[in-house]
Amino acid sequence: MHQTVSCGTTGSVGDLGHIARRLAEASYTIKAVGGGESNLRGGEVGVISLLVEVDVPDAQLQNIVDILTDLPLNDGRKVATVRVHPGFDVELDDTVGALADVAELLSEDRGGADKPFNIMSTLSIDAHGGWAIVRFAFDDEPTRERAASRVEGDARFRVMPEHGGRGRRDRVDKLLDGKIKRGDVDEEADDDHGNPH
Amino acid sequence: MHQTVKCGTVGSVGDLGRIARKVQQEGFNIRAIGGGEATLRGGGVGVISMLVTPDTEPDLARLADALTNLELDNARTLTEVQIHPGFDLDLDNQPGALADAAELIGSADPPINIMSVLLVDSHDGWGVVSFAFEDTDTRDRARDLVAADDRFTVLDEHGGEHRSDRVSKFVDGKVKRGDKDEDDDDGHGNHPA
Repeated sequence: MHQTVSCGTTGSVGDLGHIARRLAEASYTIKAVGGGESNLRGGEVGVISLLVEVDVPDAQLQNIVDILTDLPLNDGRKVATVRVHPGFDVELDDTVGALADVAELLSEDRGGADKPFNIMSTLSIDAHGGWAIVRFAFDDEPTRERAASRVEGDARFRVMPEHGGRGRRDRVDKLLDGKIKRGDVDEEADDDHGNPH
Repeated sequence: MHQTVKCGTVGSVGDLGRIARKVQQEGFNIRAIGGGEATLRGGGVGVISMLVTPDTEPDLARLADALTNLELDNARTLTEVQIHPGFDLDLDNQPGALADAAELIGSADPPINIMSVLLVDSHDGWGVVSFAFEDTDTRDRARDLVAADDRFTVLDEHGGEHRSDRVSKFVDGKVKRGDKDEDDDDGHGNHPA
């Protein structure tokens, strides 16, 4: 099952650190993260989407929800909402407009029961060599299934079978193994771009 | 300048498609995106952060104007569009690395609020994560804080672009869209039949 963990806070300084630390303490690895704070409905709100571990069983996902729901933040606050959204990963051309194409496809109202889908979370996961993998997540499993079916029916897109495009990512890792390491200095670069300070 | 475009909505169906299409129509490419909807303060809200190219200040000011004026459904517009200055960090790809960085930034005095976080790339034991802040002064304080810590490397280029481009050079032609993975016997990573 491909799932995205979504946390909503009535934002304050330090919430991301608290959330990430609690997951690390429980030995969960954050594979992808995205979100931010905004001033909405009369105050600061923060929405963070997390791709945690890889295809963890449902019991572990419930544990993630439990530990984040119980997590104390500063000023006596807690994470206001923690939800697990079922989703799928789509392989796109890494070209201008590809994300718009799939998002518009999902928001088409085709009439009757074939209504537009509300995308609860979006996360870019990987993009190299002309392709990109983007995670979309939805309110519940039936919605996810119908949304996946719509995307699979369009030849422009591919729904990846593995959580977070893991097979594809692992292949890239194999290819890179030992070639690009953390902190590498790029001797071809003449302007320090991409090199550590 | 490393900058993040952030949009806030009192959410509705179809907003992501309209935002992404407008970004394309204005001539920008989305390099990374992340966010979602939640029920907060009594109703649905949505926050989306994006790294786009090009990302010069005039370009992003133009994009912010276009997104601010974007018509959503039911006569709505985006509630907030902001450009946040930021930087990209090279982290170990292991449990706790993001927590270490976020806690360090959150421990600053006076406090520093992270306005946006985005995974940019992650392979072979490292991850590049983009953090963005309210203004350049705050960004500079946060950057100085992490740059002084041996655990982290601040990348000079927007979205870890050079790192990402180097990975793409290795990948180019070797891992293509739609590839089947011959190493897999269970269809993982392959396109379904």
